Amino acid sequence: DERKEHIPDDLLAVVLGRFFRERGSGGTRMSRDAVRAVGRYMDTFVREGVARGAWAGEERGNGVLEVEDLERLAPQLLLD
Amino acid sequence: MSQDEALMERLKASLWFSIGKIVDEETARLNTTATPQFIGAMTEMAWAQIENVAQDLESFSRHAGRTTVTTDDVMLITRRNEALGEIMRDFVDREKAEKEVDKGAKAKVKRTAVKGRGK
Repeated sequence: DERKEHIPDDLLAVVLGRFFRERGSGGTRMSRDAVRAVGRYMDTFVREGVARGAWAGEERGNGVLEVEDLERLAPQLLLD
Repeated sequence: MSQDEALMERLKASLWFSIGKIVDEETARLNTTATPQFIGAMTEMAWAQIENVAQDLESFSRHAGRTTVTTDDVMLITRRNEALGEIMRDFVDREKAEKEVDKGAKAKVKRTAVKGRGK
């Protein structure tokens, strides 16, 4: 499997933490495993977005992923 | 720009960098390319998705009476997509198994090290 790129766990942990409503001591925390799992989820999210965009690009004929592709596939990607 | 906003912008920039690498890797596999605008839009989407996920996770863990989010909470995120659920289940199970192997290996090293001491 040539998929070597990932969103760094540390970055993800910080970003997730900043979006929690309960922060500071006594606030919401995450286990390392949970952060890694979200990382896997987000990697899949991005790659799925690219795959769907590539499909749309092929349909259009030039094969390059453009913003318009993402705008069209975004609602379904977010729901899935 | 407040300090908080500045930090968020820096975090988003770091995310943009990582996502750019993932998109490059994936488009290479698919024999296509992506415009920088696509990567920017993808980053915005990912950022919004992380926010949704964070708040859902927080709700799930609180609902379970915990302050710490666990992999059980993350699995709930995928409840609407069976294929995604399977991918996540596999990943979580593999990580757990690797952890057990690591623990076992470390315990073994500890035991043999202690054995060596004293005469």
